[in-house]
Amino acid sequence: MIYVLALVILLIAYLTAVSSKDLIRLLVSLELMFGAVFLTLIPLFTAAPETALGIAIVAIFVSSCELLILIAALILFDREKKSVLVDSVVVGGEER
Amino acid sequence: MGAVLLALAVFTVLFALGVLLTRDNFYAVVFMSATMILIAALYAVFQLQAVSILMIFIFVGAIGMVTIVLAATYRREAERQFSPRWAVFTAVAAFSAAYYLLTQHASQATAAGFELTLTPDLLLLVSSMAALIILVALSALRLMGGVSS
Repeated sequence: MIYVLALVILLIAYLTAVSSKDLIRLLVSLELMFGAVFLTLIPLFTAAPETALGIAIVAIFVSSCELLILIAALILFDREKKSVLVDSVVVGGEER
Repeated sequence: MGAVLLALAVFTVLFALGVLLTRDNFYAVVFMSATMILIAALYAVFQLQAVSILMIFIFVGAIGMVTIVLAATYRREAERQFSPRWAVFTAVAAFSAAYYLLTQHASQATAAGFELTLTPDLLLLVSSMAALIILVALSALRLMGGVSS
């Protein structure tokens, strides 16, 4: 049941990500994806609890670091483009 | 225990759907924080309180609060951010994968609980990771010009 729950949350997060029109919603969907990933760690605690705890600690801290960087990038993007809309994201050299 | 798990799972999915269906980003972040709290509660049900507290402190207390502030700062006209075409593909993928997982009985985890002890190695790991997150936060502040060299 844990795997199914994680899968459902992951798919909801994917759907939120592809439907999002601004970068804030994209960030929220990413956090939801991390939540789904953490759920899949629960069954690992039955096989190797200490290893699973180590993996969980590293995953929680590293993903939060990634989110912090993304938040900083989002603020910098807003300073540059004066917008947080997904439409204003362009690849290198692309004009809009 | 099974009923508690089921109730938590249902509420987790409902709050996650709230993130998808709400028009306002601010409420989306609130729903996301509630989802993370419920995921941490699932850990607590399995007697993994250490992980549960860590998740609540970091993902709700730190990242969640920063995201709430961000969503409140960049609040704009609320509009529906939901793509029906992608929803069809997602629903098909969810049903097929859930059917496979439920018929294969992949998860053998029970709600019996786990015995965890915080060894010195794990404490060292937590300290190192806390140092890492402080370093990253300072780097992010420096990147944004919040800290002068």
